[in-house]
Amino acid sequence: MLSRRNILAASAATAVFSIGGRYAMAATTDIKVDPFNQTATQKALHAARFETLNQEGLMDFAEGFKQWNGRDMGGRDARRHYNRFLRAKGLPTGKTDIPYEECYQILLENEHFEAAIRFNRSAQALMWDRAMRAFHGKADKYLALMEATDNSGPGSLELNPDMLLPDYTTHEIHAQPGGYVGDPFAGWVYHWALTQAFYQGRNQFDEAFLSTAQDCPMPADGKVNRILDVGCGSGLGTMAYKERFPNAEVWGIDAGGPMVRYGHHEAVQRGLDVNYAQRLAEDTKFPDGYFDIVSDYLLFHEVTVPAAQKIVPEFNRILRPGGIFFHDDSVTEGNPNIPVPQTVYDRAWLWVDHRHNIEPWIPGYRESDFPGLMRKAGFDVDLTLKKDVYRRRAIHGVKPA
Amino acid sequence: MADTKTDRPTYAANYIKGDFEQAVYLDDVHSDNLMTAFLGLGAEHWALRRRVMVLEKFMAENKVIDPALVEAYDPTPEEKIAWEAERDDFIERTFSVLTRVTTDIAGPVPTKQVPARKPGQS
Repeated sequence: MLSRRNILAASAATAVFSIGGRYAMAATTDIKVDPFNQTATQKALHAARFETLNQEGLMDFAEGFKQWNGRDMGGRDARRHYNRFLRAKGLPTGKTDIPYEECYQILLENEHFEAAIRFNRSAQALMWDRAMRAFHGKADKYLALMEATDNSGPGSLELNPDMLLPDYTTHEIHAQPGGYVGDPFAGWVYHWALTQAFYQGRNQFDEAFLSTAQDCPMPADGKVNRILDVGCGSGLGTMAYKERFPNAEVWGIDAGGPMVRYGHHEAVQRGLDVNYAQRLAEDTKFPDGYFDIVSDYLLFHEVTVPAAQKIVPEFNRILRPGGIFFHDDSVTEGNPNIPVPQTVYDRAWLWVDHRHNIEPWIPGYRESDFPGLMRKAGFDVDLTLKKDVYRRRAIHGVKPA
Repeated sequence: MADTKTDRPTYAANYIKGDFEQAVYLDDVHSDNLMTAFLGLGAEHWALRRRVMVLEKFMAENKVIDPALVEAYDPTPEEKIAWEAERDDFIERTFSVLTRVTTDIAGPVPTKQVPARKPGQS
């Protein structure tokens, strides 16, 4: 039987070889990739396809249904409906400080809202369940694939199974069964389900990760020799940095062992020389001033505020003077360029995300002054907004020379 | 679900189990369960539709239908656009009734006229 994955891998290896051959002599090479107009070769490198057409079809439905739910159950007409409902109750339709859970309980009296949540949760469960079945159904095969690359290159893998994981890292975030740390195939499931169905068709070829890496500002001196991607998950963003800076030493760290293990496996398949390690963001183990760029993509809404207060100074410690801290996550307080959405509707959905989608730390992150935390750690903060494909807003800090 | 019982290292750690699967949003747990099952059937239906589209493509080209080729088939960019449109139409057709905003229809029969229906307006 033909392997759908192997067909793609042959083209991908060709793509990486051509990148290395062309740019091997450059000091700091900065390759521009247009995430939204990729060549056939680039698409072959970035594509993830399930093993069977049936699995792909199930995930395609989850993707389409999530789009429909967001559009038809949460679009302009739905917002007008909710506003009429709130006005009838004498409640505000604009900015409010009504507690999150109370906003949720208010809207839960509306049958349209309760259906929208049901669809949201059922679609999320469908996405995870069908992806889990795809990999756990052939557990021996997928374990063997990772075992075959654990000790091979390019790149390296460091696993620390005896590492003490803080409780905050061990939740089933996004309602992913087992979360980042508790499922052997967490990285596979995250990549093959979430980055496709979750991104609702906007990340079929790693567009989200590529656009983030491409948006990262350069240090003023133009030198990028070492990059660290913190909270790298399944490692796709780390690979996107390696594609942009092929001559740089690129690292990805995450608390989840199964995550970095998958990241390494996938990087080997793509022929990318990337290093992955199971380490904590607040204790990266790197020397002072080691990196030119430290990046996080969707990390800080998954950590507690006390942990963030340790992590941001750690980033400052491991960056060299003039180095860049590139922060790409959802909005927080402390950024006048983009206020945090605060209507009853927004706050009710935040509660759904927090309580029902297992985002334990998102309210604390959202209410924190993150730019202020960056300044306190010693960064000069640039709040110039950089949009990515999923409506987050990236900002960056510079470690003063 | 798994095809293995293994003591091979998996590097998975103990984790905090969420309670999200216990939530009930509709009038009763059966309605919630039926909705989730309904979505699952929609997904199975759509997966079969996609397979049929691949089969029809090979048949139209008078190719021998090798199951391996069917499994490996990657739609062209044009087909992806067309298939996504068909998927979205299927979802809208099947599930749009669930977006219905209900009102109390007690009282007299409506008397307000609205514009005539247009061709293609379903």
